Amino acid sequence: MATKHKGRAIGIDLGTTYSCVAAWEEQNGRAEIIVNDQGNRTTPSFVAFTDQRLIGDAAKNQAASNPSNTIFDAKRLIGRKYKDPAIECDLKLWPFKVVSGADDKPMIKVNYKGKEKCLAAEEISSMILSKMKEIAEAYLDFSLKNAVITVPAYFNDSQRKATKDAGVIAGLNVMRIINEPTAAALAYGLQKRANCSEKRNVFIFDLGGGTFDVSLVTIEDGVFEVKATAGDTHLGGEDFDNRMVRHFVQEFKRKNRVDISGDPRALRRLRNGCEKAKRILSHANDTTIEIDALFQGIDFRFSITRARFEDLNRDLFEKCMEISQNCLDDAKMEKREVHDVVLVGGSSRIPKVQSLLEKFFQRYNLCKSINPDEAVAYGAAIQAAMLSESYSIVPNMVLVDVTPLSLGIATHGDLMGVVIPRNTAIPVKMDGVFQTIEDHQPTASFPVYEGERTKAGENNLLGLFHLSGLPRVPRGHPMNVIFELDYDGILKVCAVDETTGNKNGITITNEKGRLSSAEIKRMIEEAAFFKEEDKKFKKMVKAKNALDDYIYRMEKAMKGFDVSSKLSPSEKETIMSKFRKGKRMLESEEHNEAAVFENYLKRLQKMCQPIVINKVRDYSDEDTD
Amino acid sequence: SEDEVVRLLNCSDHYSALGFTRYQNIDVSVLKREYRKKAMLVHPDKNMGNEKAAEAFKKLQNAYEILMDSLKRKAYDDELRREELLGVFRRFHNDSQKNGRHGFFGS
Repeated sequence: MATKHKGRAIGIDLGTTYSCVAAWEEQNGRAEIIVNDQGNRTTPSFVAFTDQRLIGDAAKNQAASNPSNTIFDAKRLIGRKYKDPAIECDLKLWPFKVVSGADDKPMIKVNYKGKEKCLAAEEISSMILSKMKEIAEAYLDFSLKNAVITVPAYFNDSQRKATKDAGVIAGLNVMRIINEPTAAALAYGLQKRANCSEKRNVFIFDLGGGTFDVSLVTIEDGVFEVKATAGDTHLGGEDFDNRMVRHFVQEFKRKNRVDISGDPRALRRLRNGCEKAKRILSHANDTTIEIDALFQGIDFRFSITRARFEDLNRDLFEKCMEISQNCLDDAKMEKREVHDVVLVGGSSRIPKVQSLLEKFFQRYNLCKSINPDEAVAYGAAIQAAMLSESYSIVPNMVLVDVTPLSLGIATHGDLMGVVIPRNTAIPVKMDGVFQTIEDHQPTASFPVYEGERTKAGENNLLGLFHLSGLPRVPRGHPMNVIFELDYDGILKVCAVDETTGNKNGITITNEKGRLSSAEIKRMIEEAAFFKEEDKKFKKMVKAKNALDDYIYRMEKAMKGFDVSSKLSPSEKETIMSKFRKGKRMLESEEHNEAAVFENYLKRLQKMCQPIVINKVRDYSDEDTD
Repeated sequence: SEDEVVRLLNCSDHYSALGFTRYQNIDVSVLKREYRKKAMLVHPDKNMGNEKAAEAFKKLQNAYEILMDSLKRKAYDDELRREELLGVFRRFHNDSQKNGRHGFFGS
């Protein structure tokens, strides 16, 4: 394990729909949520491509006018295969194009400056991360490298590693990947239970934009022990929106006999309306969605009641309760032993979810006192401060987290031989004995899997290694397999033949589907390219504005007083025609180089020199850089 | 905490890792308290840069998990007793060889 990280650090909650960043404030003994350039405390996880690249609020705001190049939900793609059944349905709903790349990795197709580009989900996430980094840097007023990034507790190994890669591409030193509900527990512990030393069993219910997690955490004497965790990496607010969109597409079809499902722009507008309506239904009993000229000039006007919304999502809400029960079962804890039920994530505001949860726990005091949108980033910032040497005053707590999925080896008949069962505290070292299945078997292969299915092939393959030089003995020869899982989720597996002392193993870092270091390097370069392009675009806008401004001022000046003493009418006409040409240049789209506008401005300035010298000096004093 | 790391790494069984004597009847709340106290000391986050702390923590965690679970603990106790017996036998065996006499089963 590395030494403490130099320099200050931030915590980033990289969400499916919104992201949030926080930093530890030593002088106040708490973490501070950092507002973005729009004054918002959360930033939409959106990236859009036009003649420029937009990230965050700017990208979401233009989503309806540019649906096929506005990317969101990258977190649903990260670390998954294109063929993953979990995203099959999403592929149909997303207005942007996703294709299958090398190793069945999903690639997002976008049109950037008229050219087609294929981007991995890691790259989209890295753009959001770099935006969050910029937001923090602007607020803290120094450059940052260190960060703790959160992931859903139920993310598997490849999803975690892909998230870490995204951090690296964004130019961050990812000190650790921590689980979202665990981060929320840290925030809760610090904000609400700082002065409490007796034992609290805290149930974290984290229903976010795209993922659902529950964790049971025991807090005592500053030790945060995660007892069990469960979840669904594909269940959240987006799914509730989807249900509503589908419902309204049907309704619209019935009423107007037109199908809007093929029109990405109409779907995006409807989706935005649904998201808004969903939020309203958390406090109102019914609401009306109105969208002018949604499709073929037909206005959209439908109302929806809270009961209808609940009915549309009933099975999803019930699934949340089932998963909660599984978590309690795994923790071997009764409902009544739980002291606090803490709500985290935007979708935990849904009244039906709350009432189901109240019924489930047979109590009416759910904890809503921490901000559900910010708790995760807050907790990540606490963890970041604990891992960085730049802070002298940090909370005295330690976190003992668990592995959400079982780890093991495929044995004879493709059975999953579990070595580290799920919900085992990490870091951990465990071993299991496996036997050869054939007589005189010279080598044995060890495919390492992660997951809960009994059939190993249905789990997530992490890697494969072999142990050779086995003695020529009948089958049933024992081999000891040692699994070592460290804090960053890096798994080392080795097998030892104790009779001969032969040993072989792997460190699982680079399985199939994950980015190679060459790819990461390419993506870092690409990120630099995008940054450069963004800079160029900004420069061009500035140059355009400067030219526009100059023409406007000079025109006004020429009208304002008599210039005939300095200019003949023909000279005046030439200048005026140059101004007109400049205006045309500004309006046309053909030039996108800052230099074109800068040079033109210089030419104009030179031409107008004679008339400027005396009278108009005060108009053109300003530097036009 | 440095000392605690070294102490843990030198422990021969799960009981001593948590500061108990072998086969001692342990109250769960006491066990938990001892675990928390030691976890605070040797937790890798509190000992950044010390490779051994992670090792020690794994040992502590393992010991805690086995002693917490009555079934696992029983299996562990059996194992320990068997090893003890084996140890006694080996010592006896070695001693008798040194003394030039025959062992139990006449080697």
